[in-house]
Amino acid sequence: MAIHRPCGTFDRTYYEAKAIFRTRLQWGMITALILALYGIAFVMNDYLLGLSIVIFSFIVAMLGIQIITGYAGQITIGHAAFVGVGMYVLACVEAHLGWSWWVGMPLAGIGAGLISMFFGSPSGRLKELYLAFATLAAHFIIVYVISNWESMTGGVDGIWLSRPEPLLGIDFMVEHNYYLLALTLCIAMIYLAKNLARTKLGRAFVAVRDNDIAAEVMGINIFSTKLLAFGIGGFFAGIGGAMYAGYNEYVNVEFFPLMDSIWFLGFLVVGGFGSIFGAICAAVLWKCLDEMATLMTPVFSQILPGLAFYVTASFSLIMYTLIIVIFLVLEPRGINHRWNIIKASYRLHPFAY
Amino acid sequence: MTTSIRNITKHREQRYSYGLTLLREEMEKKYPMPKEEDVGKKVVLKGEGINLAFGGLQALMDINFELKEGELLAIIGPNGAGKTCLLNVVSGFYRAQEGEIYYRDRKITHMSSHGIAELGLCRTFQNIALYTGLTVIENLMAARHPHIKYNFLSGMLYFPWASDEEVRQRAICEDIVDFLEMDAVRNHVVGSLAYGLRKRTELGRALALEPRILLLDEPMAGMNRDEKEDMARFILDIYEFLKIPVVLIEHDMGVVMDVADRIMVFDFGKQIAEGTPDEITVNPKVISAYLGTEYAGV
Repeated sequence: MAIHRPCGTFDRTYYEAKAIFRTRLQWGMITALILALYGIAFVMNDYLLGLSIVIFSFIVAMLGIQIITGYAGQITIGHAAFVGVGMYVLACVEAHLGWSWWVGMPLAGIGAGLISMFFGSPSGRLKELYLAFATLAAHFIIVYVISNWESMTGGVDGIWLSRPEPLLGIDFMVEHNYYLLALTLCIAMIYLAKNLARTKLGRAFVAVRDNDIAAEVMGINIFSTKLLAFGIGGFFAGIGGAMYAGYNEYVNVEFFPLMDSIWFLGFLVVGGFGSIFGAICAAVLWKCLDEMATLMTPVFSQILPGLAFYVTASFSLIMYTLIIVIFLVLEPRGINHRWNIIKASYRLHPFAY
Repeated sequence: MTTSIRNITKHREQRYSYGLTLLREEMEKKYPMPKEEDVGKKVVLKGEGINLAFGGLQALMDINFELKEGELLAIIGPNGAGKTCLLNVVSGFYRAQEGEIYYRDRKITHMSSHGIAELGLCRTFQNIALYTGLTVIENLMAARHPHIKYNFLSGMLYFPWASDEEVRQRAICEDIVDFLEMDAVRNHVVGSLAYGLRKRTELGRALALEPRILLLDEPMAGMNRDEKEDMARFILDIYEFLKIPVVLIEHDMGVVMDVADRIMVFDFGKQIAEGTPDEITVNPKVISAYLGTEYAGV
């Protein structure tokens, strides 16, 4: 994380030294990017808007697992279930209490955070692979409870829910308005995650990840830090789930299969552990590949008429695993590291270092 | 962007300070500096009858020790004598089967490690135990954790007071970086640093935790002569600037005999001698532990 600054940029105060965007060019670029993202809402068709909304909700959920696994180093294979808890908390709040999405969304985050903390509590005793299996149990338990607690969750039939109520005259039934809402929420959550990473608790997370014994002796309560990591990561997962469920207006246990939990972890490797940018890349790449697999179906039925069904079913699995294996072999530190190398080489351009 | 001289001078106080001034001010806010008459008399850390065994292996046998205000106590002994075990017991990482440890008349035997660290017993490790993914300055900031006032929510929302507190803590850490002469590598990831610099970062991290007693576990192991001299200078400067007692475990007899006020010698988990450097060098038990019994009588 050595800081790469363009030549001639000096920090005169510590405020400048710790700023996320340091130069006017960086500010200009990020502003242009955000404005462009808002602007394209009005030219995209419903299909692209839907895909973007799904990407935004998965970015938020991916930030959650980045906090738990990437920053705090606690492997979790139950993340999709925490997203599911978020979806179902929102759905239950809307269906049983009649409250709107606006109240249900933060409650979904808090609910998923608490459940995540509960299933993260073995991290006080377990590490690494053992913790991974303990959190794997979370997935089965959560799915079992949701499928069988029919009075609350409607069992395997799922629950219908509604989009956010109109706010300031903006109707979120219109696709591009919901896109704008999801984009705003996504940017806000990225900002929160970034701030978390660069302040007190974020450093404590990395301390626990890199050397838990030293962290304990250096005045960090590692158990509460790990629990907080699970809580905050679960909160992000819950918000992501609420964004996704609000868009679909329906939730079902099949929205968060076990494989999703594993893909969350796998694509985190592709994006790069311990960076917000990596998490964003990972979510975008995952959902784009997912969509590509769907788009390939008619192509396969043309080329391999008899086998189209089997090929389509396995195509996304092969793609995902291939991408993960390629990254593990060629760039185990993920897209984020590669991006940093590109930035550094651009900065140093005529010279090698 | 042009940098005018006026701008630089405007921010001067914020940028520079030497000799751990900011850290000392920060520490003086919380507790008074030790009084002149207490130095060398008042006991700040005391161990009574410490017994530590791993199964059948008795690592520490009935150890009693006292550390007085403003004192540099060195612990020496052959490999496996139990020096690091004692430090681990003091910092709450191992639990002694018997015995009590008192820190300024407060029993800390059963406190958690992070609680002990917050009291001001800060240590370094023999095998470097830094946060390898963080930069030097972030390592020090991570050690400031118990002293940073804002909670994580205001950190996440980055309220102005959290931002100001970050800058204030950053200034203290930069002060330590300046003191340790690590300015050039402050933004380097610790994993990529050379061994000597990593050892120095460890010392800096212990300093950032506001030590009231500094426990150093072989700070000079594996260093060349120049680096050892640097490290000895840093230890003596810390001792001078912060007026804190230091416990030093070290194998280099030259350094130990030069800097220590008092030396404790361990062998096979037993405390075999204690005294000033001059007494230790002629102690027959110490000579026999290091060189063999045939030299002890000479």
